[in-house]
Amino acid sequence: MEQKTEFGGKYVPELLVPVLEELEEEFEEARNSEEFKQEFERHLNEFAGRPTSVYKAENLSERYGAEIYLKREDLLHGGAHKINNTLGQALLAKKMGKERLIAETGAGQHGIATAMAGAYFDMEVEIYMGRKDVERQKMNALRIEKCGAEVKPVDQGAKTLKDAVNAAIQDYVANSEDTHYLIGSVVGPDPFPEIVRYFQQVIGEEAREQFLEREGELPDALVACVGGGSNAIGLFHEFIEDEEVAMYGAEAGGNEDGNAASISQGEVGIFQGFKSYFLQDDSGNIEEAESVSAGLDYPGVGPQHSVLSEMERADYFAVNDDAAMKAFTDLSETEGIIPALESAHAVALAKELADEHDKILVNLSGRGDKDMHTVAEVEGLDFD
Amino acid sequence: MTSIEEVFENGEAFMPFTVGGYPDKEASKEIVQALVDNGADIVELGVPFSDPMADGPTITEADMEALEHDVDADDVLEVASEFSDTPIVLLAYANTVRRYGYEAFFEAAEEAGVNGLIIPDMPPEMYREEIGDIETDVNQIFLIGQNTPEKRVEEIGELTEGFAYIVAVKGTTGARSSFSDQTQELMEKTEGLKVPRCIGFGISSSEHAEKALESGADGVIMGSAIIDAYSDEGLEGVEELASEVSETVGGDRS
Repeated sequence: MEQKTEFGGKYVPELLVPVLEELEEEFEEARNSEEFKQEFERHLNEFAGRPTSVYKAENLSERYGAEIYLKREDLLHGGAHKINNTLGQALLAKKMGKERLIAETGAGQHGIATAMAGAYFDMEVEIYMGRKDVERQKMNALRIEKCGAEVKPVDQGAKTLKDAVNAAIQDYVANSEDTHYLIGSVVGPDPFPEIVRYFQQVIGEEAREQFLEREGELPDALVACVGGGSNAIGLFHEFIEDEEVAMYGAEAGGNEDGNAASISQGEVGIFQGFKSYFLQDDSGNIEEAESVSAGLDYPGVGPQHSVLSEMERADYFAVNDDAAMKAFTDLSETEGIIPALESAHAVALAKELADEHDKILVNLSGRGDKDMHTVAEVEGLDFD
Repeated sequence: MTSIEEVFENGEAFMPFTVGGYPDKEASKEIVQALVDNGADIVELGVPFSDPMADGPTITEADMEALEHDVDADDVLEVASEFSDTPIVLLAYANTVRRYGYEAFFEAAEEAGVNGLIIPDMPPEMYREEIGDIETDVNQIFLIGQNTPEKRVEEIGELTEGFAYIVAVKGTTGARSSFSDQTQELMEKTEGLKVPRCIGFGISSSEHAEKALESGADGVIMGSAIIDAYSDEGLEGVEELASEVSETVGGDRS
């Protein structure tokens, strides 16, 4: 299949156009610099804890009826793949002479990872968080502050992730001289999706080499959860030319109140600077996303995934809350690994694919310590 | 029906903005009427959108209120169509127009007597890609900012129709307390443009309007201040502010 639609783009107010062009130039320079690459690798090793392992989950494989391998991004500092991107962009910002980092965050994971990178690189950090999210994720807001960053609650609009993005974009427009907007996923106007992909592609680079070394062949299928889509693109990118390796994205199917499955349930639109699939109403207004896992709770998806979907290179399926919770338990019980609820969606999809594929590599994008309160709530347990 | 061109032939323009359908469709018509009756040469009407990225809290909240009343593009076009004697410029975000259908939107706009369109999140290159080929009588208006490089200023000056929208602040819409030096510099940077230049964003008083005109502006755009006036003092507030500013715009400058 060919790509018909021009996904991505720079759909931004005029004031942001020169800022993005400058960012693009600086990024191109950095990615072509051996020095920059080596420095980034050093930070990934020393601070983040790379490389992460590829590990065969024997017990889970038996339960699911296929050979399931896990790429252990849950073992990184901060408990998720997010740190790859925040270290990379913070390093880039420093090279550009910026002193201040801003970011959006939903439940707080990207906010924490940005605060960590900011502390590590000794930069000022401000995190925009929807007021609703600040209230339901008090612990994460506290973590962000403990790492030396300031949480700025957003009271506009629906007061959730997408509104935090709007607020961050507005700050960026006003303060681009000394500020870098450290976007959290492969979303936003060009060059952001490319930049985030670049900093996350280490996942797939490592995984491909590790799998080949271990198994002497490539996996039959890759599975990753897709919110904005950064961990998935990070895994997929290196394998794109390997046509015999199938790719699957697990979107958040939510429940009867709503979902966050942008490709499965959304339509093509233009939002927050880029063209992609979005959950929207008939007038083109963007809908609120809904999912048990806050990290997948974005009403859109990165443009690279829209391209992969249109080209039929990757398939995207909505996994509902129940299935994700079941997979959460499966992995915890069989392997003693508590996954992030986001990643549990990928594990659930792997279960569905066990009939079709023998060797499935799942991106375990994060660990689930942060989700225990949600799990307790879902199971009707009362701890407070 | 007056065209945008004709307005500028007759002197400087006062161009107030309000959100179409704010606070509801009927009240919105009353606001526009108040503006027209009190000196508006052109009226800018915003189409409410769930995520108005270029707008500050005032206009964003006004959008939310209109959306709570289920206002959509057709409602705003209906409001526009009631004012066929005054040129109307619509401000609509990219997804709103895309969802409607670009050609369908232009047709509906023409039918409603709309003279111009601003899509704040669609800069010229994206416009060319998305909409470039579609012919329409509706003037496509583009923005120029403080950080727009010189060559780009020229290109946008060539591309924009009706007038060039000069953005006075490095940020979002919203009332500001002062008129900046950078705006003066921007006006000097854009002196060579062959189209009328209208200054907008952060213009919230007749003093600002005066400074804008002194810097060479052919028109003054005022949005958040109008909405603030309405939410503080209703139609009376709007009438007062509009008549004060339109007098300043219409007055003599030495």
